[in-house]
Amino acid sequence: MKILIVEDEVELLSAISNYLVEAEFICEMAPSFDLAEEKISLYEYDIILLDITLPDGNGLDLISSIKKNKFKTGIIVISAKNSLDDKISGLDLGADDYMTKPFQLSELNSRIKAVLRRRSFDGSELIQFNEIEVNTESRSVNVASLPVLLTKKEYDLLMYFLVNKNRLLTKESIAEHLWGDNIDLADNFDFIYTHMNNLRRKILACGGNDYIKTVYGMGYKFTEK
Amino acid sequence: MKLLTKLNTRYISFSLSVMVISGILIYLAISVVVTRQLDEKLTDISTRISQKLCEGGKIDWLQPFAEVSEIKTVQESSSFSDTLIMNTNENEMEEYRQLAVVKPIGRIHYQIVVRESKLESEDLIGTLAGITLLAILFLTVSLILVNRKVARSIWNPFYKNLQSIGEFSMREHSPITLVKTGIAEFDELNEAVIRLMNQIIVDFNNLKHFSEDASHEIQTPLAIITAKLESLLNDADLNEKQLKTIQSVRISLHRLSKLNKELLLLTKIENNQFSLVTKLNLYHLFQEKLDEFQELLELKGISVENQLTDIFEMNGNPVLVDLLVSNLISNAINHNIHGGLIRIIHKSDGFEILNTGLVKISNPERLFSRFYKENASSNSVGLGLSIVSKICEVQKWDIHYRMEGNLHCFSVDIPDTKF
Repeated sequence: MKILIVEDEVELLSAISNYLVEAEFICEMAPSFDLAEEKISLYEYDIILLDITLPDGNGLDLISSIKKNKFKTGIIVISAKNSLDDKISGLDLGADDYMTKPFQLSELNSRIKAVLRRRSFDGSELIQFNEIEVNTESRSVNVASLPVLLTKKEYDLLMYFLVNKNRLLTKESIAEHLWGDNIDLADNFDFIYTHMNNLRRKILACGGNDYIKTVYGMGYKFTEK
Repeated sequence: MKLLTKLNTRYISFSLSVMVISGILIYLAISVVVTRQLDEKLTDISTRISQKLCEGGKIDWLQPFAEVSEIKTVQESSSFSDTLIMNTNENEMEEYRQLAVVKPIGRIHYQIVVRESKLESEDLIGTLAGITLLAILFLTVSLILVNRKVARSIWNPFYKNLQSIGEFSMREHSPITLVKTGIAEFDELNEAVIRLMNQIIVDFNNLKHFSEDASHEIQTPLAIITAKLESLLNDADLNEKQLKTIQSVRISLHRLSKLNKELLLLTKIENNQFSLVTKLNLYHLFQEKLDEFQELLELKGISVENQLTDIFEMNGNPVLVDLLVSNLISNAINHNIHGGLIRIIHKSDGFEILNTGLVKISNPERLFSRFYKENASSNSVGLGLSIVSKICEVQKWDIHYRMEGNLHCFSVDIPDTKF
């Protein structure tokens, strides 16, 4: 899967790129509007991460040209502006998602995967991890071929883990993924703990393994090791 | 006091004093003139009498107008004086002007006294003075009236401009327009005001954009720090102490970015970037938000009484009202006690949200100000309620806080809406 990251802040660009490379994406970087325009016209990308405030142009202008020529490309707008107008016009122009700086890389990864799933007409809707199998279309989960009934939050949590395997997911990023940033953080940790335990219990009950490792004080990691 | 009234009172008092002084002067002047006239007449008569005496003619004289007597005095003299003489017909004293002349004619010294009643001349003086005064009075009154009318039309554009300056608001983005007066001073004033206003608008906009830009600019370094920290967490084999340090950095970072987001939001609300107005159903909105907070409510064992009804509709900006409701509920949950209560009731001109809470608020008047925290160790950044009050302000709603029994009550008045 090939991703173009359009972002003028080199530090952020490299951080995103490093993270996504580790998540087994092929990343290309475009730190300016012109370079981005050039790359978009020359190559095919599965996803374009687009910062709309670029020093030499407005990223929103790129969206329409991408949509015209490369309709299969998914676009995620990244912006320091969480102004509603930008969000609406970005999504109206055909962006698939919109993220406001600062964001968690794990959250970005999970959004990319979600966009990819939605966009891949021919791709499989099945996500397989050892004995765990998720059908993202029907939102159903099987563990060792046994159906597991998960609540919405538990399902979201499992998906977040599967998309960000072997990564330390902090409690904040999990809370933000599940509830958005509307709810005060401190209270959410107890929920996470509850949902986490329920998810664990349900997977174990079907004979699955416990892949959720607690990392002291920080969060959780979904890993085989 | 209005300028016109002030000017008029000055005019009137000044004209009155001028009238009094000129009245006195006119009276004095006329009486001097009239007396001189009288004196000339008397001199004339006395000359004629003495001529007649010289010719040896017989003088018929009539009391009290002329009197001729022989005296022994040798001193020749002539003197004017005022005197009072009894008028026997009307039985009252009348004022006369008299000329007493002592003149030797031949060997005999005659004293000739000629008199003229001042009654007529006094009447004349009175009439003249009266007419003059009336004329002055008429002139003054008409001048004041005309002045008032003219002043009103001249000052009219000034008052209009004053009104538009008074109605000017930094929030409206329209620049101020002033009526041209055609009077140099007023036009100069207008120019100065417009120059000043434009400067203020420019400064205000700069400041507005500065806060917004600053918040935006902070977002990018925040994003870099967040991303780098996340990489750090995953890259290295960290020991517990290092993890703890990173964790506390992350918590502060999260607070900072939340603070920044809320400040940005506050700036945006202040900058009137949410101007769309639609019909909203507050009941559904509350229900929706309560569902979102359901888990939190259950965790804290808070029961909710939503007494709003389905017909609870009003106009507002959907984003702002959404935020308002969400912030109010979140406030009611965060400052609630375990097993507490939240009650949402509707009143004729708005709604109230009440919640149980730990303690009485020590500074209710500061509750809506920025960064105010009742409990310093609290996790919140202290902007939630100031966002709520800012939203109410731009929507022209009213919000009040009060204690009702042991319940904290936030009461929102929505004008022009009846439920």
